[in-house]
Amino acid sequence: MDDRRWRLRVIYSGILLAVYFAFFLMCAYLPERMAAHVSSNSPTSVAMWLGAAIIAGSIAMTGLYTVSADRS
Amino acid sequence: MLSSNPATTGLFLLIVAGAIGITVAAARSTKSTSDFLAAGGRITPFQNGLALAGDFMSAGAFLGLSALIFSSGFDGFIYAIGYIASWPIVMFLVADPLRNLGRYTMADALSYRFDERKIRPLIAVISLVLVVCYLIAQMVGAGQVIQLMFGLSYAAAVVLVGALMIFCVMIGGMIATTWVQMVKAVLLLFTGVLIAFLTWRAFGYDFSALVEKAISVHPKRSAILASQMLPKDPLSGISLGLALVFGTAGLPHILIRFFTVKDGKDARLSAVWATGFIGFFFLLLFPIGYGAIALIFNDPAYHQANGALLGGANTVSIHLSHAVGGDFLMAFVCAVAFATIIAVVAGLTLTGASTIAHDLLRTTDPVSEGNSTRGLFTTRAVTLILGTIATLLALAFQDQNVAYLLGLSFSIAASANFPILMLALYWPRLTTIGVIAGGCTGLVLSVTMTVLGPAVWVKVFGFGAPVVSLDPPTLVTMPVTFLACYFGSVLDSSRSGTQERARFAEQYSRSIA
Repeated sequence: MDDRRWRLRVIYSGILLAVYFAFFLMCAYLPERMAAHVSSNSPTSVAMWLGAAIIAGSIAMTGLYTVSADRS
Repeated sequence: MLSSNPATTGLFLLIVAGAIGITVAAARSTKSTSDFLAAGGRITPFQNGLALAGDFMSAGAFLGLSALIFSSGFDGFIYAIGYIASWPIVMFLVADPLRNLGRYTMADALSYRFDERKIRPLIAVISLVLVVCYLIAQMVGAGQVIQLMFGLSYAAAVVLVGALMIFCVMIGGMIATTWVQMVKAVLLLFTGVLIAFLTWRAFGYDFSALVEKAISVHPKRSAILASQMLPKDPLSGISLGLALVFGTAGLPHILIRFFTVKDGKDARLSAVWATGFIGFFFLLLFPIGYGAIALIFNDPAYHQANGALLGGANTVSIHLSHAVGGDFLMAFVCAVAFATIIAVVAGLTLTGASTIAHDLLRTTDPVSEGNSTRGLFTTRAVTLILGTIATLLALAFQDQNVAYLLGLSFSIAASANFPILMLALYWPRLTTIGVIAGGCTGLVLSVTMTVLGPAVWVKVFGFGAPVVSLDPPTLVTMPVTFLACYFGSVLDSSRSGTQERARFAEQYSRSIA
């Protein structure tokens, strides 16, 4: 299993899971920083923006993976 | 009853008529077992992506998550983020190899190199436990929500949902179920966009103003901007994260949808579309969730005299639709919620029927599999029996707290199905004994630890403290299942085990074809 498809699976899953669990750990152990406002003139929090980024990033990763997998 | 205007009744009848019309049209194309269980592999990736999104965006996602955001703020998004992150995992690791190795169910893929006489019954039992738990939770929720929305009695609501579900699946099979899911997904996405837009408009298209208002009216103030659940119990939080991100890849009603497209590449593309639709819908929950807090938290029109929300916690989205769009939008949202319920329970029933007919009866009655007419009859009979049992169970569980059943389903999926599937697809040394050791361990441990945990031991049985504090137990059950598979396989020195290991290279080549 040293083919390119396998490497793609491992790399993409690894990145996604690392970001996802880092987010969970930050929510669990750094609650004040996650609840902090993202800027002085916006009431939205760091957690909200990171959460939205993970959702958008998940969509983008599936698109990127399928392009890469089609080439492999 | 939440809405008594004629539009509610009209739209409700339109949804029922639409489901019946789709089913009758689909019945003309359902001529073989392959048509019935996998739509003959003729569904396009875009259509399947919509249907997968429809399967996944249940009433729990639509009504339940907005209710959770309404009461707890950001914790609702923790679930949404876990759900969406599970889809790339399904796509990267499962979608294409599963399609390339199987025909109708997950057990097909495992039967490629393992002893199917032992594997199929085990996978069928795990899948049925999952489907029945999921189905009871959905049916009980359906009965309660329809009772509130349309003023029917609980029994009438459950019987109506059960009858429509049995009719759709029995007559139209996978083709009808797929089209009902697609229509429902489009309606749900449209509804989400409309409510989010109208909510945004109500605050002058200023999201900051919306969040500021939400913070000012919610008793938890700015605490609603970050998770409160995870800092309280980080281990349970990580365990929940595991169940959410790996559970989807083990849910049988999601996995069988990959057999409705023609090949692995289309299965992968289906997952791309599904991730896009589901992710987009979950992004809409930001304005919907915080908008609901801002607009209805302090509005007495949506609360009873004792301060409780009119119609219960799960009606937040329905009240918000009324606040921003009036009676007609509220009636429309009620009808979409009903369509959502019908589509999801139909998908679950079909999954259960295919598991019994294809995996269980195949082992005892191989003739059915070879003879298309008899196979089709058997599958339809199983659908009728399973649908009737699910309806009766939903009636019996009317006054029970069944919220734990959805969590249990995800826990079993992440702890039993996911490890087995991963190791079967990617670990050459796995053998039939390893699969059996892992499957039995994952299933028994998940059920036992959930029963001894807070969700059942405290909330259902009423004991003061749980025996197992981890909720859900996936942080323990998933690694233990992997270990059971590992030791079961490495300690297996049988001749059949050696042959199964030797077949891995051939299986792997086929899985990536």
